[in-house]
Amino acid sequence: MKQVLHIFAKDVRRFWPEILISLAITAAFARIYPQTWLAAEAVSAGEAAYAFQSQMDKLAATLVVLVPVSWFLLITRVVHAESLVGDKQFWITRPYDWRKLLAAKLLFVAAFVYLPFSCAELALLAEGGFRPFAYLPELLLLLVLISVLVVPLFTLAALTKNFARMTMTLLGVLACVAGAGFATTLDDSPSVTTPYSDRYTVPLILLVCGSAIVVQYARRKVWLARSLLLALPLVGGIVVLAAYALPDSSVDSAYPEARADAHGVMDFPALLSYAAASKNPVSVHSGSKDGLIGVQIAIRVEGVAPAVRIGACPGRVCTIACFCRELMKRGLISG
Amino acid sequence: MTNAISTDHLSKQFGRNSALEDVSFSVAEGTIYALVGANGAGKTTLIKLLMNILAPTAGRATVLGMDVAELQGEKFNRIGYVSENQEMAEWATVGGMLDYFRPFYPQWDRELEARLVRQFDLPLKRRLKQLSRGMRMKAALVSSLAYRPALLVLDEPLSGLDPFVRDELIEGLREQARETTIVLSSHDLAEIESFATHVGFIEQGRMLFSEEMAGLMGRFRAVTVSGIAAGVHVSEGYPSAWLNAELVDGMLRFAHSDYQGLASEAELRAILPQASEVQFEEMPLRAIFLAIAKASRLRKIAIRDGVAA
Repeated sequence: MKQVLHIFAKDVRRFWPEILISLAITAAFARIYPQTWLAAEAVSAGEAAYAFQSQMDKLAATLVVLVPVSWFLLITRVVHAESLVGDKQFWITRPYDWRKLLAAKLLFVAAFVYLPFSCAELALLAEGGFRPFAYLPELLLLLVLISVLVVPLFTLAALTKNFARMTMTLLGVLACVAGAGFATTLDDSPSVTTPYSDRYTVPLILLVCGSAIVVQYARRKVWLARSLLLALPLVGGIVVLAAYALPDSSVDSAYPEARADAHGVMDFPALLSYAAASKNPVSVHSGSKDGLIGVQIAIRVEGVAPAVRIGACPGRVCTIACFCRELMKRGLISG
Repeated sequence: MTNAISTDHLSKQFGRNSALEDVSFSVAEGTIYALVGANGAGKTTLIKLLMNILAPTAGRATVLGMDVAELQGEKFNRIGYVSENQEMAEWATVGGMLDYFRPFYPQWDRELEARLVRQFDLPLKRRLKQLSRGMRMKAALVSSLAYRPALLVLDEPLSGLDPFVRDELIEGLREQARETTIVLSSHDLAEIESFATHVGFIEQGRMLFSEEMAGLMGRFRAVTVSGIAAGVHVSEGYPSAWLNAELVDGMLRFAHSDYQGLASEAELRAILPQASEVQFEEMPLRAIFLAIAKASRLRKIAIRDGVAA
């Protein structure tokens, strides 16, 4: 522990300007962001108030981008302080224990990324009129979700030698992600959300990136850690393909159909109704390459029972058909 | 005497290039061992293998009785490593760097640190990145000597330094040598000669020999033989210990690599009965290595030509 704190203290002394910048950005985010909630009031409060509100909105949007940028700066600098790539670093022939070095770096990230962000979120909850400490489980979940950004940043820093290489690598990764996202928009055919993908994507990313970090700190074998990281999109692709190839039973278990009771009445955990009054209650999309027709039906959801989550399942024709039949049976829709 | 370092058929390849081939040698505790060879001979690769900075392709090595593959973390408590190519804690001042390293070593001697800082005249408040190369090497040396390591490994510590700084460093090392085994690599032979007790010569990734300095200096002699008649050709049948024999103006010159006093003179007179005068002169280390390197190169050319023929 002594060595962990010693390395941590050295990093704090060395990177205090970066820490201050990051804290200032996070504090500004917590202070400015609630202003965006007043947009509706500003419209009715006059032109000057509206102009001020617009400026606040732009500033808040900028801060939303600057917060992760400041994390990128902090994480990159602190990991590169004891770079893991190369064979000329001063620390590799000193009595550094890799576990303690890694612990010191994680402590730094916890102290100057997670802790300030948690404080900002608690401040936002308080500003929104909520009791902040009543939502600690949700806050923890949020911290897990920001780990999807923080942990890969840490991993890339552990696999690059300097700030310039880290920046280029990150830009490359972002370009690949943007390219993949754009490619999916080119295909307008209906799609099914891969069963369990929402449940396993985050753990998979954290597991693979975490493993790459541990391998790199323990062995400093860059090729091994990079291979591990490159396996992530490969594994993801295989999982998606496997999900499409799975027998219907797996899809059914992921998206179970509602069952009728002994009296033939469906026991829905929520009240769903056809939203006939909506602007566009039913829309049909045709013209896809494979001749499929997409149908979008507006559904109103209300009275959700406690501990029930309502999820959408686009493209599951039989599910939609069953659901429509049930709606018709109850007289909620006709035809 | 136990060995501080021992290697067993150590080899390292980078892709298809062999940087080190089948190197077996040992360094006894308490010695100052100089690893010499031309630039690119494999000295730095060998040192990096010994410090577990690189992993060997084949063979094994032990340092202070530990397998080098396990050399990491607190095992570096007893080992100091200074390299001309090593990155340093550039962001720190000299004093800040020493303050930072001190808690890593339980046996750090603050008095020795203060004495070395005074001896090397180091400015404690100056940042390392503002220091000259010589000053940086001195700062690195202080940070590696202050914990009284059992083994100090130095990779080209003296190259490019002005003579004054070089002498200061050598003096510092000499004082430390009483309690520390020192291994240093260099291609500057003159300065090694003055204080190394043992020497190993690497050429093109191979250790040509590894022995005590006194023994090496004792067995090499520059030989000049006069009275050889014109028209006599340098024979390929000369003993293999006669290196780089050449005949100029009736004088045969060569380096004798296994000088045995009167026995060597008697052998020479038996092979060259026409010799009128024979001189055996001591050779400086530089001349010895030049002779070995030249002989090695000539041998390779001969083998290559033989294969081609």
